[in-house]
Amino acid sequence: MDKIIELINVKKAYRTGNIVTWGLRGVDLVVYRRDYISVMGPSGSGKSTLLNMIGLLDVPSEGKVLIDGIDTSKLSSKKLAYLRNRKIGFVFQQFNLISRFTVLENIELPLVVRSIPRRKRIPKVKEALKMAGGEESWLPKKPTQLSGGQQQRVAIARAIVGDPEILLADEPTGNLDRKSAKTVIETFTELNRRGQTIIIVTHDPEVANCTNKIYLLRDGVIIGREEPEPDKCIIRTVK
Amino acid sequence: MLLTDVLRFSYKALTEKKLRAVLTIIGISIGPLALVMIYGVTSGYSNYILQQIKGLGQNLIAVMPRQGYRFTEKDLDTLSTISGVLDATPFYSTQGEARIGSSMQTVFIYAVRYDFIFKAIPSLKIMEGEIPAETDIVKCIIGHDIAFDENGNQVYHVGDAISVTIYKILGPGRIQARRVVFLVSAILSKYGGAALLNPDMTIFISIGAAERLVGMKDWSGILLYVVNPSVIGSVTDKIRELYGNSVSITSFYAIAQIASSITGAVNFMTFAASMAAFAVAVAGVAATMITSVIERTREIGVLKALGFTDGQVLTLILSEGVVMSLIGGGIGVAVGSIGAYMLAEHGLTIHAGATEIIVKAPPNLTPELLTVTIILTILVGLLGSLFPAYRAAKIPPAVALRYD
Repeated sequence: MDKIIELINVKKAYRTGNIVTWGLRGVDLVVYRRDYISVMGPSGSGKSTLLNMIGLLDVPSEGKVLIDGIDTSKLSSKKLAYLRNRKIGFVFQQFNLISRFTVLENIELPLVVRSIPRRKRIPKVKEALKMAGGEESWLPKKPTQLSGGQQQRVAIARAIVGDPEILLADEPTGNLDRKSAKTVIETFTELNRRGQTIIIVTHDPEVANCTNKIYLLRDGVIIGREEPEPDKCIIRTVK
Repeated sequence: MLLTDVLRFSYKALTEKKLRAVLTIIGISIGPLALVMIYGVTSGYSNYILQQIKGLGQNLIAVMPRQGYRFTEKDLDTLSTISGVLDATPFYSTQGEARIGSSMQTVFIYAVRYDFIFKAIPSLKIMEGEIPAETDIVKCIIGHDIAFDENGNQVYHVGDAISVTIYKILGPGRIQARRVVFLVSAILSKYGGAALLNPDMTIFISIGAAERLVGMKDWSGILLYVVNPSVIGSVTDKIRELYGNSVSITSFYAIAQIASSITGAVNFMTFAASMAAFAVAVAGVAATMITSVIERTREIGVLKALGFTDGQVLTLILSEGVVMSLIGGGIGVAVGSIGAYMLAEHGLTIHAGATEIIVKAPPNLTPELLTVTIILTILVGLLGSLFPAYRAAKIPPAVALRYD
């Protein structure tokens, strides 16, 4: 199988004066193409820190993060930004849509980075929104005119519009009602079925059970792996 | 990132906090407004005054006797033989009153050789009629504003008689009035000048007329026409050497040089004062942009997560400052230009004893001034947003995303 992400003994320390707090204490993880993974653990276990490392939003204090075989520890901030834009899509708990932009303008942002002319961006935006379960009529609307579930679908469209190989989601259902959460997870499952590598950080076992692998994190280390129980997946439990 | 996207993002960012953006833009616009309006007007007046002085003849030197000294033919010979002097003529000057339309007005009377004055002041032009012969003492040349009243109606034509009352102070409490009638031989084109010499309100007569009709005996002075302005210094030195403090020497070239340095200093001070408004604007932009960046820290984190580079984030923030500056600059230049024309329309009043001269000159709104103003305004935007933009660009994405 083809490795797409590899973490080798990744440690992350946060310093406040003389006090050192460890976010990650040595994580080894291999993710293969088309994997559908969830990471679970209590608050403060290092889930978001782990996602930041994989997403190249933060740099490890020790260890290495390899994306598609590239050792990212030696890359400049410009090259890291390039990798984030081309290979990684992010979905956040708070949606993180820019309120003054329309839905169209939010979704097209990763394509703006690539200097793609607007007329070529619009078909891609429409396709991504459709894939994320959204409707074209949302495009001229501001995010605040949409429900939480709809906003998260817009955020998913923004994450996939640039065709990244990896989709990272940090508590994507944390701010949603069960029905909306189910829709979002259905979208992720469909994207994975089409070949997308997905990593979801979640507290919710019903979300984790929809993935193919569940990693358990505690005190900054992976303490084990659980087999998902598909019958307890939110897609099945919520009618 | 495309320029259209950068501009669109900047515009959207500014419209999000409209009041703050509007207030900052108003703050920015004060600099260009002040610069265009004040500098344009003062520079317009400066240019006007300089042109007037230069128009009076850069090769001309007026030598006038001080109290107790009286010029004679011998002085005329002495002065005309100084190296560099091409021509010399005595002149008489006085004032009188003449009816212009419905009112009596003060007019200046200069008695001087016609060929000399037209050679020394090339900007004097005949509009109508012809220059009379020196021997034709009843004929005269009148200024444009004597021939035409304030409503533009021609009140004197070539061939008309003009009656002038000339007052002569004989002693304490004793004034002699003399009425002289001249025939208008020529009318001057509008000169427009009012500084030092006002040809529009002057009657030029021959020396013979001054002596025989007006009864003037003592020359008011001697005018010298020199080969070129560069010899004025040496000619002046020679006159000083010959006459000491018995005479006063006026050279329009020297006056033009002094006026040029004064107007240069005034223009510089105006420019420097306007710079204070630009400096304040830099602080205003910086305050607005730093607040904006702090408020949007999380958004900056999102942009970086989506692949925006530090340089692209820097460009976005800088462009917001520049867009604000361009809007402020445009408003400032437009309002400043209107204000400059309104100010210039009022005119500049110069009091010289009992004489009041109103200088009206269009503001000097040159492409250079407008270009410098816009460049300075863009610099305001760049300087004001440089630190906030740098700060935004350097925020680590993970930190920015955690920001509440």
